[in-house]
Amino acid sequence: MRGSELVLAVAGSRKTQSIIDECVTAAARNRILVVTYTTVNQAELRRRLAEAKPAAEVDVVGWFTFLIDNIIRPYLPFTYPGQAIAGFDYPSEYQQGVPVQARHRYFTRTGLLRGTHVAHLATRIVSDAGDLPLRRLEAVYDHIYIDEVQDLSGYDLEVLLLLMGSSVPLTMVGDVRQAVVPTSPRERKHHKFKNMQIMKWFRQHHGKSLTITYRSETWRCRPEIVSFADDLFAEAWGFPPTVSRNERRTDHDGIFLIRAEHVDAYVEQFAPQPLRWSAGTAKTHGHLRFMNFGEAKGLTRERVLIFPTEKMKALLQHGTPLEELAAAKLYVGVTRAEQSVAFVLDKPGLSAHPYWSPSDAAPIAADR
Amino acid sequence: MIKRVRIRGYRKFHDLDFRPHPTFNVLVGNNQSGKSTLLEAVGLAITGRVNGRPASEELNPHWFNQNLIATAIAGRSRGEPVRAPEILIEVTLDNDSDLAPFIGADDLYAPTSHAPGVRMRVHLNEEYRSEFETYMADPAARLIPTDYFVADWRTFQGGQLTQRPRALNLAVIDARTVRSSAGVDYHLRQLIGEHLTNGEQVAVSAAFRRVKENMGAEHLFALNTRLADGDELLDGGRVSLAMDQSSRTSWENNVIPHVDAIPFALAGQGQQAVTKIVLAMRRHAEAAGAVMVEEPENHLSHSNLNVLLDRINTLSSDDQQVFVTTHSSFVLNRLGVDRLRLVSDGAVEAFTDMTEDTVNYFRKLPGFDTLRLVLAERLVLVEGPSDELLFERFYSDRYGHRPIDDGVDVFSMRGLSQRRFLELAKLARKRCVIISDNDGRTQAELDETRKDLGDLLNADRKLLFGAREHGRTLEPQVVRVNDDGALRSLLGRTSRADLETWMGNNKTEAAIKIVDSPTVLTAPSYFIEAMEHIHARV
Repeated sequence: MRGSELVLAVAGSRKTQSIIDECVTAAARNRILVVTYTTVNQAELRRRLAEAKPAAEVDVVGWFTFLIDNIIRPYLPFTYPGQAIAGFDYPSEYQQGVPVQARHRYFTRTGLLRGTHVAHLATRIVSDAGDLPLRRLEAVYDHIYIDEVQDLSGYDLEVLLLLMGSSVPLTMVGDVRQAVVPTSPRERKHHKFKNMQIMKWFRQHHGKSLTITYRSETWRCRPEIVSFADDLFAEAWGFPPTVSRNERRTDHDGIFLIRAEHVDAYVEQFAPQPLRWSAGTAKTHGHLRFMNFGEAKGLTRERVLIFPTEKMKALLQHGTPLEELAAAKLYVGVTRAEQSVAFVLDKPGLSAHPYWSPSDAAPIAADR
Repeated sequence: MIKRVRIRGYRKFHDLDFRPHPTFNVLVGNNQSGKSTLLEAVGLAITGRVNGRPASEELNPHWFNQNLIATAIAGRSRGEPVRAPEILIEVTLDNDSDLAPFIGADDLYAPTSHAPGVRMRVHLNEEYRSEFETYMADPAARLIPTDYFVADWRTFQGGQLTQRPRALNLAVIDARTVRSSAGVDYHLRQLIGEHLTNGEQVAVSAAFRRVKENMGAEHLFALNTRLADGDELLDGGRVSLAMDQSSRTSWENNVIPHVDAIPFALAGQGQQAVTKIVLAMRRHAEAAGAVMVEEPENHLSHSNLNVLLDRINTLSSDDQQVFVTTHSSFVLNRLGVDRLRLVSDGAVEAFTDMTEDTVNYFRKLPGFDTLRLVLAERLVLVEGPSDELLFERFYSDRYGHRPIDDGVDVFSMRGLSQRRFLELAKLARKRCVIISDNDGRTQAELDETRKDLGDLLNADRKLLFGAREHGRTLEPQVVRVNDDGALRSLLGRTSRADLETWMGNNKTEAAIKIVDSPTVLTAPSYFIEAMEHIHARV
């Protein structure tokens, strides 16, 4: 096969599982590289691969490790002859105003490699080494997978472009609606493709070196949740509608509102995963075991309980659309749930979602 | 297979770039030229060890190139800070799919491409920079303080190595001695291990562990029971004996190869050498690699050496690269002069473009002293021993010292053709002259001989004939240019004897008389021309 493939798949469409399945079906002597940005996801991939016992040799690495082990370490002499890598500087300061050619843009005085500029250095090295790093990848690996590809930004995209130009089959999997972890916040390069805008970058390359396919079936979320999540994004994005394959029914399925005073009773009865924007919000309920939206990425829960921000309240109450990053975070939040999502909201506004209260054995319509 | 060896700052080698032949390399050179150092350096980069011990434990101030150190010290006396020296040994390997993960830039300082490889870099540990600088600032400090240095062993990919990766196979065979007291050195032990597949290794080591357990259960039991009856120790514990299960006592350390049922260390040294070499070269098929044999001629009789060289020749293959160091022309001629790599002054030169024909010629003439020819600075080829003696004498008379003092080595033909001699001289880029009898040939025939040799003859490589009117061989030539009476009294011949005939019949005796005599004779003109040619510094 030729050309690279991007699979944009909705939450709950078994993205990670599809990578594992392909590793399992690969031939015994194949060498496969699976790259993913977050350490949580790396650990998850390693665990599930260990269970699946693929015959092929599969390496799971983080994005930085991928760049360092396959591009920077082997080919650094082409750009900075004799430079040793004493270690990794992370988190590292963005080197504002340091010239692109300067060694100390990429290395600290003691020879630590600066995390912020790793991808930039990688692209310079590939260029100085006349694409040899790509030839190396072709010699070492039979297939490269990049999971959670929407997490990449800045010079990472330049690296992706280089990878698309190599003959190693490249499969990227991700969901731009979950682009909530900005990799290099201060990088100017490709700033306009930050977070969800990465979609535009993918579309620019679609058809040339890249084929984009969509997977719109979710095995996780109930149809009510899916429909709410889809509505978070304007039609202009062009995402195909999500189809729910979750046909399981419980006595509490769909989107609900609850009043703050009923939160504890709700938690008592349903044990949902409480979610919030950040540690600084929802302080009134600090005793709950919260997760931030970003952290929850990749998880599956039967039910979630969301403490909305002011803007999210406005969306629920008046249908005011959210800006991109907030929409993406809320998308991540609601799509964790299999059966139900509850919002803590005292004033329903125009919302048509039902209120839950402790006296309910089953959901009842909210009294206006 | 080793494609390239780059050595910087290691012992003799200031900056070496050596591209070995894919199958066979015969390294020759004078003593102290760096043959063994070259093999040692390759071993260091591939196995991480020197003399069987890890590089970091063996670091030695004398590892650093002495010229580099001397330059640094000279700089210090001018008030410059002493820069920390560095050793870098880079070995580029063949592009084998097993080695793909080792691919990276082929040179740490001046990369041109990428390949799988390994590099050993000995450099100052930055944490000790100030200590190093303080130490070296002392004008008395002449040796590099190696305790401030680290040996950093990595693949070209950049990953650190702690032990030799299995995909890298290298056997260094020092045919000279068995080093360890147990009679089996590290390398030999490694060789034995490599003859077994992984499965076999596991089976053997499991069986050995069972033997040890058995020993404990069956034979030490009674003893332990008895010990248990004895006095209790202070804290109430008891003493008992059990077999040592540490890796020091693993099976590899408890087996010794036997040659004809005689333990290896007790076998003849020749046998030891042959055993080691054959073991190294016959490893299981997937273990393609390199074998290094140092001076196989040692401890071997002529006939045994022949057998060994045959084995080396048959066992070498495309998957098995061989490096041999030698001081023996016999070894060189037998293994093939085209495989010769001359090591001198920290450089290695290859004799490429050697015709198949020439190679075969020297194979059939293993007694010819090819090495002497290669190692000499300038060459003179004469017809026979008497010409050799006379050349030496004429040269000493003319320049006041022997030719060898000027690096001029004089050879007798001994069956060697002028053409082969010139081919070798051309490849070795040696200034040379052939002093030849005219054998009564016509001028046209002499011209034809010269013409046949084509570009083998030039301003640097000359062929000189005795003047036709002065006789066929050297003896009449000498008679013609010298006073009859003086020559007769020198040779002790009466006026009745025909000098030319007597000298022709008693070449060596005549030559020895001339050499031993205080009388200085005039050399024939072609000898003078030859001496001037070979003496001239260009």
